[in-house]
Amino acid sequence: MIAIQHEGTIKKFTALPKVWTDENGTHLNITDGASFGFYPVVTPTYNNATQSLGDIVWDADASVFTYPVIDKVWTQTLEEMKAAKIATLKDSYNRELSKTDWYYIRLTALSTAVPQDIIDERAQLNTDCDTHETAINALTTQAEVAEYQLPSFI
Amino acid sequence: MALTKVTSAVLNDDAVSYDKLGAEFTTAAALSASDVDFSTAQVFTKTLTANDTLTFSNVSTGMVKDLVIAGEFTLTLPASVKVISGTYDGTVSNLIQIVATNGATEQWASISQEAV
Repeated sequence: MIAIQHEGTIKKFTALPKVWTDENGTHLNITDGASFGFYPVVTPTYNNATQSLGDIVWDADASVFTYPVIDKVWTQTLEEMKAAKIATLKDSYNRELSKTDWYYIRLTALSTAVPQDIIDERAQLNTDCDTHETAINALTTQAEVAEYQLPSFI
Repeated sequence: MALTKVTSAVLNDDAVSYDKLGAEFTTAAALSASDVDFSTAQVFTKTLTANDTLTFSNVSTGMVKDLVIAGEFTLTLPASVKVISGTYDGTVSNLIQIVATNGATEQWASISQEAV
């Protein structure tokens, strides 16, 4: 990605344009982009859970276009964020547990025993969910809650 | 009385042949400098040996000129030129056809290369 500052705005291109018109003329076959004002766009590393990127700016020191990294400001309180995170957590585990609910429906309807490995698997899921909930409740900042990674089930 | 102007009475329909056209419509000129004088030739040729900026002169509305340009360098045309199709490929000869749609204010260009 490259960009150029032109007529008060920064325009981005995936590569040097084949045709570029500025106050000096219509340029064809540009090979040295910098001599026309084209410079690389550098995306800084950032934590997208707690930060976001601002509008593209020119960094004269590094001769690149880049984005300022801005810390997110949350509208929810710490407790509200925890509650939302835990709700998402429980929904996720509930969906995982629901995959084996039919064993218990069959047990009720047909008195067919639930396999031990299913019982163990569900017990582990419940334990893990409780562990995560405890960990989330122990967090002390909004950034920590935002960054907390919930398990992803396939 | 001497004839001072050509009138329809003395110029038959379909009578202007290619031979009667001026050099600006019938000749090709190699550009040694950077000015493309629209009043001097129909076709202008140049092989770039460095980045080059062409200027146009004596452009009038309706003129159509052909530039045959080669050379793997950046070619700059006047800002009044709007490219409507094609891209320049410096590794081969490029036919850049210029149509003046508003004198020196606006020209449209199409760029093409030999089909391979």
